[in-house]
Amino acid sequence: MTVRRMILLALIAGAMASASGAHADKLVLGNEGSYPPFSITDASGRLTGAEPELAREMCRRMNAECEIVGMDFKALIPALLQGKLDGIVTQVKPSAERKERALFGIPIVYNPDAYVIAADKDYAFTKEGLKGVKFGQLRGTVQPKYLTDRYGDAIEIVYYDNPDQIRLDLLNKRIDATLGPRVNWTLELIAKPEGKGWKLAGGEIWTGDPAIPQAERGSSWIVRKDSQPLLDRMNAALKAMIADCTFTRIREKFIPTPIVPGESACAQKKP
Amino acid sequence: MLSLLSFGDTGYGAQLAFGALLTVEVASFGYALALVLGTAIALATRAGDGWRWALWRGYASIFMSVPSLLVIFFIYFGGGQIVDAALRLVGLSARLQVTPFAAGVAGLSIVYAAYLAEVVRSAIWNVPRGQFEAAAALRIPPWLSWLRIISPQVLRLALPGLVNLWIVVMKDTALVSLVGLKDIIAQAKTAAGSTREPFLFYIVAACFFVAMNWITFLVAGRLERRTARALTVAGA
Amino acid sequence: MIFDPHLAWQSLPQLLRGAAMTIMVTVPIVALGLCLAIPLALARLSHYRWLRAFAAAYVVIFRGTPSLILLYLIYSGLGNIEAVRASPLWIVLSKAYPCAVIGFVLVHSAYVVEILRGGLEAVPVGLIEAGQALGLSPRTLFLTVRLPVALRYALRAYQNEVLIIIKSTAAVSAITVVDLMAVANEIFYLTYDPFTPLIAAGMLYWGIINLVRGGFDLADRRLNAHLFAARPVRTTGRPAALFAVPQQGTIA
Repeated sequence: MTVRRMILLALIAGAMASASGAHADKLVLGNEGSYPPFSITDASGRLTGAEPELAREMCRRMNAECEIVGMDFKALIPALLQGKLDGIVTQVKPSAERKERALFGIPIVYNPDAYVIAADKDYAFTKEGLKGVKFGQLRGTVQPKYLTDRYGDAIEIVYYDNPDQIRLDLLNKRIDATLGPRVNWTLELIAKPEGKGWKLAGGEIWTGDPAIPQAERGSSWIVRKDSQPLLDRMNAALKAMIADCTFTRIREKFIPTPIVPGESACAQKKP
Repeated sequence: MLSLLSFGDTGYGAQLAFGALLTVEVASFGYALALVLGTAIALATRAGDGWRWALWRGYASIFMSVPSLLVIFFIYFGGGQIVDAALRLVGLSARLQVTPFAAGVAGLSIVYAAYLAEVVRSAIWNVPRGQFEAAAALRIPPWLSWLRIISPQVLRLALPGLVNLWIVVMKDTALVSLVGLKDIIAQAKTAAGSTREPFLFYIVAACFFVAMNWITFLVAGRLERRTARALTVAGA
Repeated sequence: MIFDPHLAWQSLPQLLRGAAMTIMVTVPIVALGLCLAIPLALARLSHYRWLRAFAAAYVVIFRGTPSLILLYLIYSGLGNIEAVRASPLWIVLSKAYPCAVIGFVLVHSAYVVEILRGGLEAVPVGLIEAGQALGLSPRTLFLTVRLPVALRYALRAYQNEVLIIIKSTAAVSAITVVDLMAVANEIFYLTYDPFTPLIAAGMLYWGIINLVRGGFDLADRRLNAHLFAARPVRTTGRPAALFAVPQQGTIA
């Protein structure tokens, strides 16, 4: 009994402890996992989509061994701050609170938000115009704060853990609208047959830090404040990928349109 | 539609199976640890008074009055810092990365040790006084009488409660999916989201748990009959 | 470990709203669960085989399934079926709160069925026979003799089950209902402080649970007053080893 108990305790200790912090060339990166087309968990359980593939290429160029873990968006930043992750490779919008705690890399995508509403509705985007409208939003994102700042109590916000759930409930008519990234919602809902009854509205909305100038309003990958060297390596690898069009090559597999300005040179190279 | 459940690249069968395995692992480790802790507590607080009893009442009051989900969240999000702070008192410093698996096992064992301690305590209390007295009269050393005489009877009396709690623990592991463990429920949720077939996958997950319940029922029946064999005398 | 009293005080209104939602979810569950469980418990003990089988299957399915799966099934699973959305059921199922209540009522009632069954079976046969001898109708016999006595025996186990269901409702945050657990989580994701909101929520849960437990203790004292009368030996006031019913259901 005592021997078995010791083995049990040893197994538990082994499951709990891991290398505290990461070695220079072994990284744990966090990704949302179900934010198509940027991240998808396919049938075999593998994390794929634009961002994980770009991240894998980036790691290859950094000579680092990367493990990409999937977790809910809301859990990514806390996990990063606690050291469970070395970096987040899901697009994060720079807000004032986030910039206090993390370092942002070069923009990985320019993906402003838009309202997704029923095709037959024509809301005026004011407190009166949106009275009683139910918004479905992701936990841990900046859009809820934007909505409550602008519309206060006029709207009702329902919180979800995954974008899939928001889409399902939009289709079920449990919620009336959502405020989310244009590229994602266009490709995953509006452009698909089931998205017939929905449309984007409100133009291009920036829900990040308003202090950031127009030209730099993109979403980036982030690391902790103490990981500047890592961020420099990541930025360097990404810039190289954009320059030699590898970025475009990977991006094209999932997203038809360019997502960063640096890709314009590559787009012209194609026949 | 059933092809979605197949093993291999197009079906989610493999993921669900791995998830099911994880569920069983978390439940087993959590329950085993809780049983060890609970038994230790039951033995230590047999006197029913003193500082040990006060400590036990405090611990029980806290951990039987909060949801296990809360304890699991607490350990997952705060566990690393707690261990770090505790070790700092001794002069060491280490950052423990608490995985969802560890948080689940730790949370479940801390909460259910309290319930299991009550079951074991009540079972020990219900063993007839005469057994202890007889063992003492025969000069059987305490460790031997505990091992060969008292424990089997405690097991018999505690068995229904122990089985009950095993089922509860197994179903509580479902909550660990909410801290990110890729157990069968998390896999069902991912598959449901990707394929837009929530009904199919959640029913499969439910069937898994009902099946585990059934197996437990069978095994428990066997165990009950075996431990009660001393009572089934001819005619009884 | 840093418990930030300032943050706790600031979040108190939000946490109390969450606690209110937890109570608003629990009360219908307990009430409806009991209502559903009484006829099912009778079915479980009935003479008709198919009734017995149906009730037994109900218990096996809903005790064996984690409440989280039931919540997902009702909210996402049923919500995805066209036929359900077109039917009048949708008026109820389109909101998350009714889905949560229905899910937990199914689970809770399955446990209460077994607890009631144990209580009903523990009623001394002599009492029933006496009632029959006195010419009481089966309905009067059940309502005035069998059920009240069964409830007394089952009270401890029932109390445990109610306490457990209050704690289980922490899972409703998974289908967007904002209860105490969900509020604590939200505060964490905003402030990145794991300890303060969770400890504060824990204290609120502790308060709710112990209030309910106190209520049950009062009920226990009144209904089982005859057991609390001057009896020097029994410190728990329960007729302990004579029958197994409270033991069985105690931990649920």
